[in-house]
Formats: sequence, C-alpha cells, structure tokens
Amino acid sequence: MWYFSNPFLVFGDGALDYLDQVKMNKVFIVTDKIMQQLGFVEKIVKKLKDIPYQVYDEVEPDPSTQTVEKGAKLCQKFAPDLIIGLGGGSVMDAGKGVWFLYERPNDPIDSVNPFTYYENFPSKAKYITIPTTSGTGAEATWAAVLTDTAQRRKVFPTSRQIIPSIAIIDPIFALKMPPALTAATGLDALTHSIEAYLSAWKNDFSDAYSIKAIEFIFKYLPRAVENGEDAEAREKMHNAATMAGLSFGNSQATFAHSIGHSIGSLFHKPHGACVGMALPYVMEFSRNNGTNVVEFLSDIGRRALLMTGTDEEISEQLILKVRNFIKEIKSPLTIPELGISKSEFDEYLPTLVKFTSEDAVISMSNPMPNDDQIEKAYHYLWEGKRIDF
Amino acid sequence: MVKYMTDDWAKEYCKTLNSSEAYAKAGETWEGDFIFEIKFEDGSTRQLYMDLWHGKCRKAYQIKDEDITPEFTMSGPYENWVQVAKKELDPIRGMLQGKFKLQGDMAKIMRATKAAVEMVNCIMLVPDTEL
Repeated sequence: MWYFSNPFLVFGDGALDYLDQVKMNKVFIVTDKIMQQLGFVEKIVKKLKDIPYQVYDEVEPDPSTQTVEKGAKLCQKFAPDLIIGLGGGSVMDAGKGVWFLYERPNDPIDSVNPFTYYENFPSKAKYITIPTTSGTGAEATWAAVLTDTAQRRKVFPTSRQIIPSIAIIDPIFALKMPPALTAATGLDALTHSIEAYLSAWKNDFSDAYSIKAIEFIFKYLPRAVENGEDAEAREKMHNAATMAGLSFGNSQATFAHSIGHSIGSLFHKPHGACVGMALPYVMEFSRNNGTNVVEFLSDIGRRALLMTGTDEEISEQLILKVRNFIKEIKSPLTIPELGISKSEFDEYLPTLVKFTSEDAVISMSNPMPNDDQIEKAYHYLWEGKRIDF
Repeated sequence: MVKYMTDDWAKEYCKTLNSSEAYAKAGETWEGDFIFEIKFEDGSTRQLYMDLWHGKCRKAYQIKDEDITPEFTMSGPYENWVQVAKKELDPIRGMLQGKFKLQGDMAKIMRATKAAVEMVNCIMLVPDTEL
C-alpha cells in the first residue's frame, strides 16, 4: 500500500483565469517584493475584482520560520477563506507554513510531521499555489523547507495534509525568467525527476511523472534558456516542473538534494545549480553501489530519451548526457564553478559532510552513503572527477 | 538465539546500538527514552524500554510492573515488527501506512531523522534473532 498526493491542477495558457471560478470572500496573498516589482501581484489582484485582499510580501529566499509565523499572525487577523502563494519555491513553501499556522495556531511549525493526522485541517481556507519559476515543484508537494534563523537550522514541515488545494500552472509567469534562472530551476526539475526514479520510495505513479518530465526537460529546457520568449518551451517546462514535483513529492529526492541543501545553506548558491551540479555524480555513485540502479537508469534512457543498447550502455549514455546537458545550458558542474574558493571549501568541508549526512532526504538514497563516501564525493565534486567508488 | 522483542532481545539490541558507529554518530546529540510497544494477535501487548543518551544505549529491558512515560512510543502489531526485522518493511513507510504509530515530541524526532533511521537499522543487526 502506498499513496499519491496531488493538488487539483489547472495548467496551460490562460490557466490564471481559473481564479474566476474559485469561490472566495477574502484572500490573503503570500509573495515577495520581486513579484510586486514584476507586476505579478497586480495580475492576481485584478482577478479578484472587489474581493477584499491583503498582500504579505515579506518572504525572503530560504524563508525563515519567523517570516512564516509573522505571516500567519497577519492571516489570523485578516481571516481569509483563500490563501494564494505566488512566487518561487520559497514563497510557496512559506505559504504552506502560513496556511498551517492559520489553521492550527497552537501547533509549532517545526512539529508538522507526516505521522500525525491533523483533525479538521483545513477548515478555514483553501491554499492555491501559483508558481512563477519552472523548477521547484513546491506547488505540488506536501513538504516545505524553512530556516529557523534563531537556531540556524533547516526545518522541514511535512504532511500530506499541507499539499496545496489547487495549483495554477500558468506559463505566463515564467516568461520573464532570465537564462541563468531558467537553467538553474530547470535543472532542479531534472534532478527531482531522476532522483525520484532512483529513490527508495519510487513507485509506479511517480515513475510515470518522472519519465514525462525528463523527456520534456531535455527537449525544452535548452530552448527556454536560449530564447525566453519561446512560448511552447516555457509552457512545457512549466508543466514538466510540476510533473517532477508530483514525482519527487510522492517518492522523495535523495543524495543530490542533500548535497544541494548543504552547499546552498552554507554558501547561499542557487538551489537548482547546486542540485544539478551534484546530479551526475550521485547517478554514478548510485549506479556503482545501489540496488537495481543500472536497470532504473536504463529505463529512463529508453523511455524518456529513446536510447538503445544494453542496460549498462544506456546507463552510461544517460549519465554522460546529463553531464553534457548541464554544460550545454552553461550551468556549473564543479564546486569551483559555483564560485566557491578552495579555502572556503576546505574550511567548510566537515560542515558540508555533517549537513549532508543529517539532511532529511538522504535516507531515501539508493544506497544511503556513509560519511566517508559523502566526504569523498565532495572531493570529486571539487575536482570534477567522475565517481569511481 | 534470542526471541525477537523479548527482554533478552532488548539487551542484545542495546549491545548492538552500543557497537554501532553509525548510531553513535547519528545519535550523538540525542537525549531521550523510547518504548517499542508490540501488540500480539491475542490482544496482549509487550513493551520494551530503551534509555538512549548521546549515541549510546544506557539500558534496555522489558517493562513489567513499572509505570514509565517515555519521550517516544513506537507501537505496532508483532507481525509488522517481524517485517521490519526481515527488511521487508521500512519503518518510516510503515508509519506513513499506519502500520506503526509514533507518539512523542514530533518536532524533536523530526530533527533526529538520521538517528531514528540508524536506530531502526540496528534492529536488523541484532545477531541470532529468532523471529
């Protein structure tokens, strides 16, 4: 027995018009200042017509639990029956936290867990996510990544009940992404799809979404990076990111995300670039050490990319294709290319290993690496060497 | 041979935890006690108590006439515990499927997932376990 959780999905050109059909009396919009500057908040507000609304635009990158708690207090006071999370992964995750605390103000946000059933949740509001990047998949997942700045640690509220009620996947919001952001967020989606396919919790439904997402990302991401106004590429990438979110949200990410979370939190580098960089190394590590990974990689190659050959040959072709793809879209493949100096790397290596080994998703890796393997992998990531252990 | 989920097994499990480098490392900041509650088909239950402190097991035994309120209780039918020992059931998945219930300070356990995973891994490493 297993489960597959997903929001009600509205997608494609004009998807935002679905807001006209949503019953609402008061709307609380969780977003950030950039969304205001880009005029995206205005697009939503226009759709609301005369419905009272309040905008909370204080969500920062890597949002803090304090930001979520502040938003929840404002939300309590405003008492909406609809919350909208408009933005990238940080905003949509913060919105999940605001929604939860609005509904259950007495439960600490860091206690939200997948093993507890929260009675009468939700009873006050629906939560609609509207992604403005094509990569995080947060619009369709039941976990959030927050930072407790007071205690300097990541917090992962996770519960199937905090999955957004509705996700509106309208490519209009992705059109203005610059090439580097397009590449980084697209690589995040690729990493979600491939890691989900290798995860210890992989399942038939997540596999299906992974394969379609991988096919789309290889086909459309280079086009979207090259020409941001390529409407077809933007729409397919927007859909692919949500498919990848549905996939890893129901089977979990693995080691590459643990590396990405660790580098991201210590050096404040873009999440997508960090996890994308780690992806081919983790594929190599999993192929060399995991259970049935050669078969899984060759499945991906055959089904998503129509590769031919033996399982061994296809798994190798796929890893090389991922490496070349990252280069093609001009994203980093080594730690120095992320802009981290050798002295910084040496100084923080023990912390990187500790953070990686303690990361929430590492236990889903196939296989779960030990600390020595993690440290060795970091050296290979520094040098750009293919994993041979 | 020690019979699974008995007082003797709890003591062997404690030794296994204490010989596990992975658990020692993962649980180095952990302070808190645990009860494994085993529910049998005939309606009876058995509770194994574990006092866990900074990556070590200080003591473990079957609770008989004591009233202990541990920080955490993990509870499930005996056959599900057997599936864990046989590596047929990932206990985290088991909890998500409702095959086990976990009670306690969830914020604390969410910060110690690796220690929890290593603790469960040690269940499978207890030598000469009779299921």
